[in-house]
Amino acid sequence: MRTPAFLFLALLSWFFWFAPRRPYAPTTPLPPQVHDLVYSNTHRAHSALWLLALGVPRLSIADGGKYAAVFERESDYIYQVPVRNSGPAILVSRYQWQRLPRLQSLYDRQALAAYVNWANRPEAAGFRWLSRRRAEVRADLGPDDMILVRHYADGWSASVPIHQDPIGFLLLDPPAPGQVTITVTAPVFTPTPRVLPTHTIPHINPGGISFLPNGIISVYGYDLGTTGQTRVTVDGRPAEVLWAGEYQINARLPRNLPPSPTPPVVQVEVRP
Amino acid sequence: MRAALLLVSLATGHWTLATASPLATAQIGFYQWVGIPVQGDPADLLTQARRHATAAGARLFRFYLGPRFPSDYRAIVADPALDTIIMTAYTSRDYGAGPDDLNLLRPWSEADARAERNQITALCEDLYRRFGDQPKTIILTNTEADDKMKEIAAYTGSIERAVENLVAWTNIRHQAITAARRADRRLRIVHGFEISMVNLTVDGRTNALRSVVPRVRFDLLLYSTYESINSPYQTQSPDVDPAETGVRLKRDLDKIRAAARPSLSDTGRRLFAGRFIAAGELGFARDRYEHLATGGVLPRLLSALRAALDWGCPYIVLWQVFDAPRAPTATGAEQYGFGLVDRHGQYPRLKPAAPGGCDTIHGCLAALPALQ
Repeated sequence: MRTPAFLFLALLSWFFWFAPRRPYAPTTPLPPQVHDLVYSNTHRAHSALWLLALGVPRLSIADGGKYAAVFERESDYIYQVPVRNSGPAILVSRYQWQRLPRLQSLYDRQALAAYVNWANRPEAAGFRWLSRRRAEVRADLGPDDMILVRHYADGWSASVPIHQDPIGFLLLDPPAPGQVTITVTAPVFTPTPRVLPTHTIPHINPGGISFLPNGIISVYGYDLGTTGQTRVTVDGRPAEVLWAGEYQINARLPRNLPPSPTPPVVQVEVRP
Repeated sequence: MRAALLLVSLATGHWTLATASPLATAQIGFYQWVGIPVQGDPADLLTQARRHATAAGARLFRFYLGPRFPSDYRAIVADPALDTIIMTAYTSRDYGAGPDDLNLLRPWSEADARAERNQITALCEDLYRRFGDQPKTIILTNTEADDKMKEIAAYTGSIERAVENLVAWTNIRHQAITAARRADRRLRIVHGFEISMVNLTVDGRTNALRSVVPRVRFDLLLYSTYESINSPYQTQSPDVDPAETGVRLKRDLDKIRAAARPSLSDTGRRLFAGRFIAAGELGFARDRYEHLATGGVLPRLLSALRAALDWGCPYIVLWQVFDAPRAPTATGAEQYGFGLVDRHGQYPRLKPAAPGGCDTIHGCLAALPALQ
C-alpha cells in the first residue's frame, strides 16, 4: 500500500517544524578566528584557554602535539578539555561579571584567563529546547547568580534582561533571586562561508574592520604589529591606536573625520 | 571437597595479599578523586583505585562522595581490606539542572540546613544498617575549607559570607553526625573538618584556621599539607633541601594543634587526644619536583611521611592512586603526576631517595618502616 501524498507532506512538514533540530548544530561552534587558532601549531596556552572559555568538552584533532602537555588524551584523535560543566546554561557570578576586563583581542591572555575563571563553573541551570528556536531555562538562583547561555547573543531575546559577555555569549540577568523560568528565543541562523586569501604584510581580512559606536574601530588581519609599532590612518588622517596585536588592532577614529555616505579607507602601516 | 578448595583459595588469596602488602602501618592510605585509570581495565575508576590501593597494602582509602562524580560507596566500605574510609561527602540539591553539590556560594538558608541534616543523617543510618557490626572507621569530611572560602569570596566579593557559610554548614553536619552516632555498634563514624592554610591567608587577612575553626566543632581535623610540604611559605620556591620538608610539616602541625584544640569535640578528645590532626592530602607532582636540583619526589615524600608519622597523625592520605587529568591554567598547566600508578598500571620510576634505594612510591612505602 502506498502512503498518500498528503500524509507524506504532513509528516515532512511536522519534521521540518517540530523535529528536535537546533539553530546551531554544536552548542558552541568555534568562531572562525578561534578555529584557526585552535587548529594551528602555535599559541598553545591561548588555544587551551579559548576551548575552556567556549565550554568545549572534547577536541578532535589529528596532530594534537601542542595540547599534549595541557590536555588529557582520550584516544588517538580526541583530547579532553577540563570544562567543569559543558552544559548550555551555567550559573556565573554577578560580582565577577562586573569586574571582567574587556577582551582586547584573540590573544589577550589576561582577560581570557579572567573570563575562564568566571565562566568555567560547575553549577548549571536547566536548559531545554521547546521548538526550533525557543528554549526554556530553569534555575534556582542565589543573589549573586546570573545565567551564562553558551550561544552567541546576537539576535537572541529573552523574558528577562540580557547582556553580551566579553566573548559574545548570551548572559541572562534575572532581576531577583529564587526560582525562575526564562524563555529565550534564538535568531534565524544563516551561516556564511568565509575564505581567507593568501595575505600580504600587514594584511586586513576582507570585511575585517568593524565600526563601533563612539568611534572605536577594530581591524582584523595578520601581522598587524604591536602597540607603538603600528600606525593606522583613516581617509589619510591618523587614528589613535588603542591596542595592537598580531591579529587585531583597536583604534579611535580621527575627530576631524568628515561625514561620508561610504565607509572610509583604513590603512595599516607596521614599522619594523 | 568444594569447601576445602574454597578455603585453600581463600587462604592463598590472603597470603598473596599479605605478601604483596608493603605498608606496615594502617595509618597511610590513598585518595582518589578525578583520575586517569589504567587503560584496558573495564572496572570503573574508583574500583580500580581501591584495588591498587589495597594491593599496595593500604587499609585506608579516601574518595569524593557527592552528585558530581559517580561512586559506589557501599562497595568501598564493604572491602574487607579497608579499615578506614574517608568520604569527602557533599550534600546535594537541585538548582535547575539536576542534583549538584550544596551551593555554598549563596547565603546559608534553612533549606540548606535541612538538606544537610537529612542527607547526612540518612547516610549515617545507611552505614550503620549495612556495616554497623564491622569494626571500621568512617570519616565524613569536607575538602579544603580554605579553597572553598577562596571560591566563595571570589564569586561574591564577601569573605564574611565565606566564613559564615562554612561555620553554619560545618556545625549542622557535626550535629547530624553526633545525633546519628550509635555507641552500641562497632562501626565508628567520625566528623572530620579539613583545612589547607596555616601561615598563608585566603584574602590577605584570614583563613579557615583563624576564622572558621574557632566557631565549629569536629572530631578530627584534616590538614591538606601542600602549604607545608611544597615549599617554604615565605618564598614559595620549591627548590630547597628536601630534608626541610618534614621540619616545616611538623612546625605547622604544632601550630594547627595549638589553634584548633578548643574546637575538638569530646568524641575527638576520646579517640585522638592530642594527635587529632590527620594529613588529609600529601603528595608531590613529578613534573614539578622530579627535576629539581635539590632532589626529586621521593626524598621529599619520605621526609614528609616520617614527620607525619613521628608527630602522630592518626591518618595520612597520599594524593592519589592515579594521576589527575592534565589541565591548563592561565600560566601553563596544573601540577601533573602525583599518581602511585600510571595509566598502564605501572609504578612510575623516580630518582631514588638515596643511592641504590627505592625508586617508586610503592617501593618506598614498602621500605618505610626500615627507613624510619
